[in-house]
Amino acid sequence: MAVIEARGLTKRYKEVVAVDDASFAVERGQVFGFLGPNGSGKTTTIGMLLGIVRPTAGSFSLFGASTPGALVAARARTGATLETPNFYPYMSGRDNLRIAANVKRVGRARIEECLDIVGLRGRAKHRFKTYSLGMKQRLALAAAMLADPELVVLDEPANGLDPQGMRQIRRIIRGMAERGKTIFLSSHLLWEVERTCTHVSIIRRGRIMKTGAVSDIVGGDKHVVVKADDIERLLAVMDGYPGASSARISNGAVVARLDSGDLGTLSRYLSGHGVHPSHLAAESKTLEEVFMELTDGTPPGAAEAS
Amino acid sequence: MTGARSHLGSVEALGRDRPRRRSGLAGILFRNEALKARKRPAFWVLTGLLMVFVAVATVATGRFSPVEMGWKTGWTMVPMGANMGSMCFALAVALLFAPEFKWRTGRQGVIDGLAKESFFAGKLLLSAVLALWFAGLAWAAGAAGLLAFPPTGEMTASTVADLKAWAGMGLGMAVWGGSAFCLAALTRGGAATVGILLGYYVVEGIAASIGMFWAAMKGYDWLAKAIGYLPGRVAEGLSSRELYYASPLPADAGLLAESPGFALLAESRSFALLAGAAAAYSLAFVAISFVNFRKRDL
Repeated sequence: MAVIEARGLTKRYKEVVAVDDASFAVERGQVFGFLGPNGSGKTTTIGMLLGIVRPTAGSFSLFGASTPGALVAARARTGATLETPNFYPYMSGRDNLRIAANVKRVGRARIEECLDIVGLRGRAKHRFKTYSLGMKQRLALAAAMLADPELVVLDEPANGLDPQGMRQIRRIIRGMAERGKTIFLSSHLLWEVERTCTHVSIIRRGRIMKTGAVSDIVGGDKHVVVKADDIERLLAVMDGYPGASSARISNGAVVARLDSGDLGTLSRYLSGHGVHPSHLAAESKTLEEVFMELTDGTPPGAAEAS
Repeated sequence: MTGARSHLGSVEALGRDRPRRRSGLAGILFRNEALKARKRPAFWVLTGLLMVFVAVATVATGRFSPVEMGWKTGWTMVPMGANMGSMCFALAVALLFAPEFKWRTGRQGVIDGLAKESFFAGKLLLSAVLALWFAGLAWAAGAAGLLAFPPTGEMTASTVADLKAWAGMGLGMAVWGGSAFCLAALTRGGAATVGILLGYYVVEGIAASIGMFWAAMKGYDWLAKAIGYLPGRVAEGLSSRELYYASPLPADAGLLAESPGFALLAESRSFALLAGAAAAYSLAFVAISFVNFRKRDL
């Protein structure tokens, strides 16, 4: 049984389609990255999964539950944050955790444990509004961990963090993943997702563009990079090579998708056609390259053009 | 922040079984709402304002009244702190409910495991507790004022009229609180709620005065009666001393009786009718809030 299963989820705000027919599944133990430019529908999708945004169409289940009553119980097995950390600004970090702990029915000792984990015990008595963005993010993470949930949903947890803060958040997430927790992580930090996640779904303008294991997505398309003295001649020969496609010149080299065969076969083919490459290498795409292709070059942190 | 190694160690320790607190939903909602209220400085400012106002008003009314007030008359002044209590109550409801949307803490509560309906019920519970709190404070502050500066004569026991006065005070508060609750749910902003609430009651007061004058001039009984059942008039009527007690100042009663529209208004000032109207308004405000709250995304 999938921990999260979305089937044709759609959300319309009058004329605007925020999420359009989104379907994906997150299995137990996966660290699932949800990637998309700002405004692509990530938060709306998570909002629907968490029961705070009503879908216009489609359905979803959380731990197999899909009725309103059952979903309340399913959310109790989930620790989640959405958008910015949402706390009472006039209350201390500790008191804010008490509010969440009461709902999740956990005791005070657990609050102190979680404050320790995120390194906020020393500032726990200070008001939330005095916290830096990094501290607010860490408090949100502590709140999500309070009930030791089976599923952790984090929306842009590294937003506004310095490199050290990001490293700490990543360690905490990895720690949870190593303990078998299912993690659903929305982010536009591609390298962060590539390092942390086992699976990924890429969303653009409300539509899911690609879903799968990170290794399949980045390793699925192998590219070959070839350099030679006569670059035009090299491009013409590569165009005729049956094991490659989409040959183009990029940064003084010919880049082509390697559909079949290996580098040895290609090398022999080039030599047979009188081209002697000075550089020949196979490269897998990075998640960033896949992302840029799928989102028409919209950088991950930028807003979607409507 | 301590070292990352210790963090990871702690994360690994999370797998231990830990005892869960057993507590009913009502208990959870009450504990959380009480914590949010008592940590909010605005709540204590309203509490302090009400206590000072009611104590001073009760003492001043007794001390500077042109007729000598005995305990009996002085005691009837105590529930009349209701007006100020109602306003403080409504402001507290607005300031403790509306910001939940701006700060998105209401949304987080639902994400943490509350049903939307439970969150709403928590706010209703908070409103009920706040009503008791501010009514109790109005009574305590008034009583303290009387005891500190006692009127002449012997202390008298409470009467049926006193109980009616307190019931009326509670219903008047319900109208104020209900309207604040409804506006908080609709506008989702503390400042907007307070602004619209106070603005409405000021405008309604002015419009009612003009309307009553006009009704008296034209002899429109129906208009005078209808004006008497506007929400603000109902709340004001229920906190009016004359509804429960004979005036200690006969001259005042004479002046009031001569004022335009008073006779028409007085006809509609039956406790039962005002109480029914107040209950109907309060329920309608809560029902509108609930329907709106359920329909809209958090």
